[in-house]
Amino acid sequence: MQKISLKKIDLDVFSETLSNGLKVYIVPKKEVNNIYATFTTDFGSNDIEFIPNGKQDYIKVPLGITHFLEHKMFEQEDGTDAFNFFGERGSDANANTNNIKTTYLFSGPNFFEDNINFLLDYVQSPYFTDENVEKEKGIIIQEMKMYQDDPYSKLYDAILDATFINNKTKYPIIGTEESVNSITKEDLYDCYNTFYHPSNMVLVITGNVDPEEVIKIVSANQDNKKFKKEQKIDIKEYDEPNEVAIKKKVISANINLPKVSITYKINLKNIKNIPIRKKLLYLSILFDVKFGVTSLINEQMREQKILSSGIDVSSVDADSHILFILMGETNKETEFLDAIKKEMLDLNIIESELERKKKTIISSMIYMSDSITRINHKVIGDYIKYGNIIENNYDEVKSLNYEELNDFIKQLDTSNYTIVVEDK
Amino acid sequence: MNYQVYNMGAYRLHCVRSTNFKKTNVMINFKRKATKKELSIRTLLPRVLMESSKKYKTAREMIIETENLYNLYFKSNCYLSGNYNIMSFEATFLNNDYTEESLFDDAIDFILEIINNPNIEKRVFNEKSFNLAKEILKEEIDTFKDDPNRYSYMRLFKEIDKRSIYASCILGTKRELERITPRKLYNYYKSVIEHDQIDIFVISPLDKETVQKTFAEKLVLNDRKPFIDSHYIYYEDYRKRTKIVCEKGDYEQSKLLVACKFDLLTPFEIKYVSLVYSYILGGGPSSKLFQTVREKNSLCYSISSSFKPLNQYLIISSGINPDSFKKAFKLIKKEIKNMAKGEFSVDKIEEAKVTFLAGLQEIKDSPSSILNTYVSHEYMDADFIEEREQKIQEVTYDMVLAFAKKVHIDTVYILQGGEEDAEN
Repeated sequence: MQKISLKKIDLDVFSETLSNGLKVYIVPKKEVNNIYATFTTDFGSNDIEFIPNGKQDYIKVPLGITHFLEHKMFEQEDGTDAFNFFGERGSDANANTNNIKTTYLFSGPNFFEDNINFLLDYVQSPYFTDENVEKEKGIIIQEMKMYQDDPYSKLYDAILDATFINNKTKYPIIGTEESVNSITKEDLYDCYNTFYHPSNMVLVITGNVDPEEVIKIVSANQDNKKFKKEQKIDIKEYDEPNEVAIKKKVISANINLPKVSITYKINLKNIKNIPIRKKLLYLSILFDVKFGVTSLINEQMREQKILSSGIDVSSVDADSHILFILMGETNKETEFLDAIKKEMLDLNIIESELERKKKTIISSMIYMSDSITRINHKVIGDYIKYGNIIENNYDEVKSLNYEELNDFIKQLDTSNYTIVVEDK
Repeated sequence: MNYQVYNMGAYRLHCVRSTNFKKTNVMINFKRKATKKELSIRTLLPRVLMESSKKYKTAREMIIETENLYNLYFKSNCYLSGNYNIMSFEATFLNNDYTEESLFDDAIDFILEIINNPNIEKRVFNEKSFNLAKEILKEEIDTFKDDPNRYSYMRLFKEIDKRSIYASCILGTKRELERITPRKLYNYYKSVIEHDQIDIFVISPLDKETVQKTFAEKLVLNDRKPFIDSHYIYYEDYRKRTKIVCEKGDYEQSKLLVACKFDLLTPFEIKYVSLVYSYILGGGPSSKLFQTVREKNSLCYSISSSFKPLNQYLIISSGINPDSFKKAFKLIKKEIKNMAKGEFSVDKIEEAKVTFLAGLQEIKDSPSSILNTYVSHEYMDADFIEEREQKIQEVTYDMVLAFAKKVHIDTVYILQGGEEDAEN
C-alpha cells in the first residue's frame, strides 16, 4: 500500500491497485463517525461512440445511456433492492452521472463491511431485461421533465448546446425523450461490458476506517470474482473547433425576469510555458476578480440598476475547452452584455487581488479537508482527470505569481463567445 | 457534548467546545412573534445590514474583508419557526491553528460590525444600501413563482388555512415593501436590537470561558425579557372531506402535495413516533410510497413524506406525470390506509431506528448540525443527541400503529403541468 500526505491539510491518502486492476484510495479520518464510499467508472455521458469489449467496430449508443445504466444498476436478479439493503443498515445510497464519470456511493457510520461488499457486488452484477428497461423509461422521462421545469437547468443545457460543435458536452447528460425511449438492454450490456471492468474503475473510501482493514475486505471480495481480461478502451475522439456553434440563441421559459448569459469558450492548450493546473487557477482567479462578488463591475451594474443581485459566474471544464459563463437576471440585456464585453477588453488585475484570491483558495482547501464528502470528491476528480492524486495543490497555489499571470493574460484568447437569453 | 449556556443579560450565549473541526461556527439568532405585517420589513433588514456598515461602506468592501479573513463565510436569513420569526446570522471561519494570525477576535469583530454597527446617518439607513437590498427583494418576490416547488408549498399552506402566517410568502409582498422607508427600517432595527430575544450559538475549539469573555467585552446590550410562549402551533380540527385544489401552471411536470393532519398527538409522538412513521411511509427509496408510486408504477421520479413537528403536518410531495394524478393519489391514499391497518413490519421499525441513530452519529460530524441540535433544544424543546439515542429505542409497533390511526388527509394541492387535465 502506498501512502502520500497532502501538504498543509493534515490528510494521508493510502492507495493500492488490486490484481484485477481496480484502484483503491483510502483517506482515514478518525475524528469523525461517518464513512463515505464511492465506486466510480471512467464512463460519462460524453462516451457514446466506442468499440465494445470483444468487438471490432465503433458503435454509437443513444444519448443519455450512461445515466440510464446508472439507474438500472440498482436492479438485482434476486430482487434485492439496493436502497433497502443500505436503508436497513442506516446508510444512504445514491449514484450520479456526469459528462466524464458515473459514481455509485453509500454513506453511513455502521455496517461498513456489509455495505462495501454490497456496493461492489451490486455494481458488478448487471441484470437488464426488456421489461425492467422499459419500466425505467417512464421514471427517467419524469426526471427529465423535472429538470426542464428548472429555468437554470434549462438555460445551462441551452448554453452547452450553443457553445459546442462536436464535443459531446453539448448534449444533456440525461439524453432526450426520443433517445431514452430507444435504449435497449443490448445497448446497456455493450456499455457495461466495456466500461465497468475493474481496471476502468476507482474505489474511494473516506472517513472512520482503517486502510489495512479496507484493503483486506475489498481484496477478498474481488478475488472471489472472475473478470474478463483487461482491454484497452477505444473511444472515438472528436476535434472541437475554438468557434462556438451558435453566436446567439433565445429560449423561452416560465420566468418573470429574463436570464441573460454570455459564455466564453477558452482553449488553454495554446498557452505556452505554464503547467495546466496553474493555467486553470489563473483563469478562474481572473474571472473571479473581474466578475465575481468582489469585482467593480458587479458593484457598478447593481448601482446602475442593470442587475439587482449581481453576476453569476460559473465554469465548465469540458476537456477540449473551458467555459466561463457569466449570467445576470436583467431586463437590460444590451447594457449588461456591453459592460461585460468592455471589461473583457482589459483583463489586467492588480497584484494584491491575486494574493488575496490565493489566500481564499488555500482557505477553501482547509475547509474541504474537514469534510469526508469533499475529500472523496477531490480524490475521484484528480484520479479521473489526471490518473493520480495531486498532492501539492498547496505549493501550486503558493507558486502563482503576478509575472506569470500577466504572461498568461497576454496569451489568452477570449474572442469566442456565445450569448444565450432565456425569457418568457 | 461539552455544552454550556451563559446568561449575558441581554442575550443567552450557548457554547459548545469541540476540537474535532478545523473551523468555528457562530450563529446569532433574533426571535420575536411572527406577524404577517412584519414579514417584508423583517426579511429586508438583514439584507440591508449586509449591504454596508459604518466600517465597510459597500457590499464589495465587506466581501473583500471576508476574503482577508481567510474566506470567512457569512450569511443571513429569516425563517418561520412555528409561532416565531427567526432572523439568523451565521458565520464559519478557520480555527487559529490554520491561519497565519489569530482569527477568532477579528472574525467576531467582523460579525458584530455588520449586526451592531449599521450604516446609519441621522437615524435613517443609508439610502443607497437600502435601495440595493430592496431591489433584490423586489425581484425575488417577482420571481417567487419561477420555482414550482417553493410556490406550490406556499399555495398548499394557503389552502390548508388562509389565515395562517404560513399561507403568506415568507418574503412578504411588494405592497408592504414599497411602504418601507429607510427611516421606518431604522426604527424597526432599533426595536429588534432592543426587544428581540437573542440567542448566540458558538462551536469552537476555544475554552468556553474565552468565548464568553470575548462576547462579554464585544457585545453589550440592554437587558430584556425572553418570550415564554411555545413555538408549537396547535390546530383544533381537520377536514372531514379532503379539500382538493388544482391550479394550472406552465410547467412540464405536475407537482402533487398532500397535507395530512392528526388527532391530538403527544409530545413523544411528535418527537419520535412521527419519525418512524414517516420513514416507513415515505422516508426514502425503501419506503412504501417510493416503492409503490415510483418503482412499481413508474408514475414519478421523486416522492417522499416529511413530518413538520411545529405544526404537526405530514406532507407528501411528488413530481408526477400530468395525467397521473388520479392514479398516484389513489396509491398514496392506499398506502396511508395500509399503515393504519398495521401493514408494516417490526423490521421496518428497527430499520427506521437504525437510520435515525446513524443520522445522529452524522450530526456529530458537522459543527453546523451540532449547533442546530441546540437551536432546536432552545426553541422546540427537542432532546439532546444522547437522549434522542435512548428515546427512539422506546418506539414500539403499537405506538406507530396508534399514530397511523390518527392520520387524516386534509388538503391536496396540484400544480398542474403539461397539456392534460387533472381529471383525465
